[in-house]
Amino acid sequence: MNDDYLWDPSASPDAEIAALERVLRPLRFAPADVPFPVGWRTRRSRFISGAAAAAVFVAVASGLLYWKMTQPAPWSIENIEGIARLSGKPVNSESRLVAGGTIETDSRSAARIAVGGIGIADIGPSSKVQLLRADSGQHRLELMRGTIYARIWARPRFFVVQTPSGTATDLGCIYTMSVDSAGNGRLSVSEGEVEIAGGDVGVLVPAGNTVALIAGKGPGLPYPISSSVAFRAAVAAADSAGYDGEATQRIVQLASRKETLTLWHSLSRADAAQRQEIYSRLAVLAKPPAGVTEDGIVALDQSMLAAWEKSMRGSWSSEPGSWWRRILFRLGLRKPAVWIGSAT
Amino acid sequence: MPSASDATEKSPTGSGRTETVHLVTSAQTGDREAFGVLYSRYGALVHGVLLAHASRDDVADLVQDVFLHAMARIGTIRDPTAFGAWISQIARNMARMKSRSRLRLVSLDESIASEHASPDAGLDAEKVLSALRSLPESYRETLVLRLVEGMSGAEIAERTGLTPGSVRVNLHRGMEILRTRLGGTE
Repeated sequence: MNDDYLWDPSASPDAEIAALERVLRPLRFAPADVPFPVGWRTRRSRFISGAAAAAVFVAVASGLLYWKMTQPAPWSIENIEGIARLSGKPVNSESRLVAGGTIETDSRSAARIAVGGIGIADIGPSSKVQLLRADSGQHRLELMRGTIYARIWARPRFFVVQTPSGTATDLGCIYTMSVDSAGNGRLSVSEGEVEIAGGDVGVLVPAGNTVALIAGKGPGLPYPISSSVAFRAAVAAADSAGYDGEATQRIVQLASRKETLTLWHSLSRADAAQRQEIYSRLAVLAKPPAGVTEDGIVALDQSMLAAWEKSMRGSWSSEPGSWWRRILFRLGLRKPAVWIGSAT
Repeated sequence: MPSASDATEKSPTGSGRTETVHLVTSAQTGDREAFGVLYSRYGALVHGVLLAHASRDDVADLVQDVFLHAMARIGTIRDPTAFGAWISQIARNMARMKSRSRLRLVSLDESIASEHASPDAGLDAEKVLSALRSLPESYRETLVLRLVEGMSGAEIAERTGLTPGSVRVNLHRGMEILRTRLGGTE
């Protein structure tokens, strides 16, 4: 007997042992014939999957229940600071805003309105807000003065806030809007988009941008909240003095890639000579798409303007990229970049 | 998942033991893949131990039962290097329980096999297996692992936790007895 082969099958074979091996080989363990206990794994996996699904369901249901329970009743009002007044009476836990009702805060008070079942609007200090309409077609507030910070999760165009200098139509977003006693104000968008219209001007303001509201004129030029002080000053000067002069030249000089929104909006407000300057700068910062020509832009060809806008629109919004941040924004658990009172 | 033969052929003793420790530790934390690799590495060992004790018809089911049992209790292993010895003992216990439940049938099998284990009879798997099962337990298991499962002495030592010297002795003496029982083919 060859003990070496008995110890090591790779050694020189021993005929007797090799014969036994040949006979016994059919009995050898074959994983394919005796597979890993998949059935158990499957049952276990199913059990775990089922348990996980049940846990997720319970968590979601609990979350929804909690959310529902903690949601204020439609059009309820609560004091955030001090004591606000509802149609002249102090706001308390029973207060409900109805069409025609007015909420007024002094310099030391702020209030929160449950905007039907579609969102929340915080009314800042020294503000006056009236509910104009609350039906299935539209919820409409008037911001007479002060500041409103709205977080809305309704369908687009369902929630509207009007001011003496412009009307903001919610397109599914979070924004702050303020207006002073003279009717001048500002709209700053934290998430989504807001359409602001006043006079004969309409501006679509994407997240991360702000626009002045000018009494008697409507919205000015929108620009990124993150723009430099110099750029802001140039826009403010243009909004104030008009878009055909030195201020617009300054805007063109200072504009960077992130301010293409401002340049694009200034095209339709400047005269033809300045439109050429704006076009030149804008074309450097954002190449016009095929079919968009300088002549067409200077002539305010609407289809060309729209095509160029469309090609740039994606870069204008600073909306948080992740879905969970958006949810936190919507639920008010994460504060936007612009808070009440800081927009102007 | 690598096959058992792959695992057995490619795992030197030292690194194989280290790998086993890692696999057992991972499996204890719920890593199913690690347990799957353990199944590949130790499937042949369990199969061999069962074949040495239980009816051939029961072995396939018992292999799964052993690993199911092991999976449920792998957290109780204090010394991961002893995984082979631990799962072998599970296999022995299960084989005995199964054998007790069908004692009469097993006895009948063995008696028939013994009758046919004559020097003139040609070798067939059942006869050789019956002869192997008649060996003392330590020889029996070691020889089954070598002759049926094709493991080397070093691999048997690594998987079972026996010393190489013990394995060598078991193989040698077991083979001598087997030869006698099979009718002295030497």
